Amino acid sequence: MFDAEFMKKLEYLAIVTKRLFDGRAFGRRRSVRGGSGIEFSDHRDYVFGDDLRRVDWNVFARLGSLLVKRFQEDDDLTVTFFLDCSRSMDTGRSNKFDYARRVIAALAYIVLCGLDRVEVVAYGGTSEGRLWPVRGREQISSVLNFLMGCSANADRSNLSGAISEYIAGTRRPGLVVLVSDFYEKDGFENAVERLCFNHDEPVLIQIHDENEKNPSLWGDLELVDCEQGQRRRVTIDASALARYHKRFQAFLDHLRQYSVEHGLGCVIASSAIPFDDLILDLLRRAWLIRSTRGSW
Amino acid sequence: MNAMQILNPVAWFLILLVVPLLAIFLIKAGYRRQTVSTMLFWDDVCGTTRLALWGTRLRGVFSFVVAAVFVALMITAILNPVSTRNLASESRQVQTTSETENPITMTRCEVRRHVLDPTEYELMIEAVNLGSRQVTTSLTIERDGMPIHCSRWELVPNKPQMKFIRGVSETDAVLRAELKHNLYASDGGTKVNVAETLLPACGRVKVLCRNVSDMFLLKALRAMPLVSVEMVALLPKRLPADTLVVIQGELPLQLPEGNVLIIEPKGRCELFSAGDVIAAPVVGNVVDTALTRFISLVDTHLPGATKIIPSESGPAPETLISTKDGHPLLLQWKREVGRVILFAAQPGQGEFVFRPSFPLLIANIVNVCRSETDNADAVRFASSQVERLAEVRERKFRSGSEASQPLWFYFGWFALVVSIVEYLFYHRRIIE
Repeated sequence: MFDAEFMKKLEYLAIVTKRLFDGRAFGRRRSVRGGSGIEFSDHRDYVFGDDLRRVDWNVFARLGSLLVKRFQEDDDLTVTFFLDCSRSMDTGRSNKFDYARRVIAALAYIVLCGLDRVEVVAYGGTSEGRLWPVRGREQISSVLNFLMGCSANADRSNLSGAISEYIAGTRRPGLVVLVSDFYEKDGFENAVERLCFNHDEPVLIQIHDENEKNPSLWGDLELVDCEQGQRRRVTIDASALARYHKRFQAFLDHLRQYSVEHGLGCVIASSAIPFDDLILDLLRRAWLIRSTRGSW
Repeated sequence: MNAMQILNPVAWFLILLVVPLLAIFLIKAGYRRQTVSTMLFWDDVCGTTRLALWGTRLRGVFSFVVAAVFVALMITAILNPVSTRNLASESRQVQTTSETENPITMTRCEVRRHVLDPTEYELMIEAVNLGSRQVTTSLTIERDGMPIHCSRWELVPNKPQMKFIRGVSETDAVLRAELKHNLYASDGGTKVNVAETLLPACGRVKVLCRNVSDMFLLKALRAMPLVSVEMVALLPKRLPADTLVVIQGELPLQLPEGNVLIIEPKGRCELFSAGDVIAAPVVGNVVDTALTRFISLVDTHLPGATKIIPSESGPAPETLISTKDGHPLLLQWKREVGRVILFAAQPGQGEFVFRPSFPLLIANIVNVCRSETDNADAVRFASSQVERLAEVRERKFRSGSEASQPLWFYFGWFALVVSIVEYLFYHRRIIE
């Protein structure tokens, strides 16, 4: 899926979150909990039962009050990827589904290299499958195997159902990356808001084909929906194409505006964009990943 | 060769029409169908009003009808060309060649009308069997599409054989001969040759007789079909093309314009003057022309013949029959309108040999007048009338369906243009 040089580049990247999450195990991310780390965080008043070794005796000597040192806890982060397995993803000159799988694989590798956990949910009409959280760089193979086993053959993408199922089975919130085209008949907003309500941090990665943005259809055609099989006879001329382009651009603008209003990460990418550019350039500019060189 | 003649033309036409139409329909249906990832945006873009949907459907139906018309016209043009130029070239090829694997062929197909009875015609078919054994064939004759004759014909090898079929018809017609062999095959035989020839029309001739007292001449005229004889005292100055004037005896000073036959002249006119009786007028020379066809008068004594002195100021005559002494007996003046034929002998006083020849001479004269009416040089042999085959066919075609040919022609072009425009603007698909 990737060459060694590209994977080397991925190892120097890290996922960026805007909030702190409560992790399960030791990691490289700051936890919301104060803990037994080595980096000083702040003081608090001593209460009965506190470990006397944590009392800051220097402060007691100067001020005469008992204060306990607090240290920053480093936790791991669970990043959950949602992969749209509907048939609409299996279209385009450069297949959107393959493109999405490569994006998830690359981001998962970045996450695993950062000692974080990766969870993948493939959703379609019903939840197609789920890769339970894995940790460690060597687990990338299981992620890849899971992704290779997924296929875009669902009749409809039920994002809301998949999110509901995910929330019901997950206690700790985390970073949730939705990789889809978001062609939801009922809209994607409801599902995303449910993630926000669950204190997750959604990130939207919209993938579309260039032909969806600028279709080259003309004349009397019978359009067939690849998911539902609905048919519709249309006459496409220049004005219809202009209206379509306007409507599609409005959809993308709405997605972008919604993300800004709700403080979500959002990347809109065409599958025609080279994959390397998306990972190394576009996602970094969107501040979804950052370089770790120089900081560690 | 019309391809539709091979089998039932209607069935062929329907098959050739249905197959491409079905292909066009399937190709268009598959060509129009486009799979899109979602209908979310198209639902908003394209109106869902009933009027728009009906408009799209009607255009589809119109497109199909136009395609059907175009295909039908193309098939018709391929199978049955209606171009007049094509017909003319086809008519020249009266005798067709046989198939390569077939040693039987028709080599001649000619028709002629009877000299004395022009309503009767005779069709001559010549065929040859180049194979090594005798072949039983079937000869079918059609007149304007109606079968009039069908017979079995045994063709011996390497010997041209002729067959004569007689019929009666006043009007012009296209005679079509079809030769078949393998008669016991399941498909009714293998077609070897089809030949077509023209039967020319046979018009009526009106004969105006002035001072005609010779009963032999009158009987000869009245015995001919399609000839009406009328006795007149005064002659019109101009004669219609289908009218022949017969003058016996005294000549008027001015001959009428048109076809004039003068028998046993007396006196003078602007073309000649009649002289004394020729002593011992024995026919010495007969020029072979349309007027003297089938006439053999050499060494025949024609008593009572008079000397003819052509006028020096008038046009020079053409001597067709003359005596051994060089006196003209049958002369012809061709004028701008019609011709003047002079027979200087007495019909009723000729030798016995002259008796059967005189009706032939009169029939030849009448036929020449008739052919001038039909505006052709010869009436009897269709081989010299091949040019007219196209004219007759064209006339028949114009009276039928060809009257609307320009409409179909323009409609065909209209269908072609509409198909191209429709393809460019509505069925063009850019993406793969």
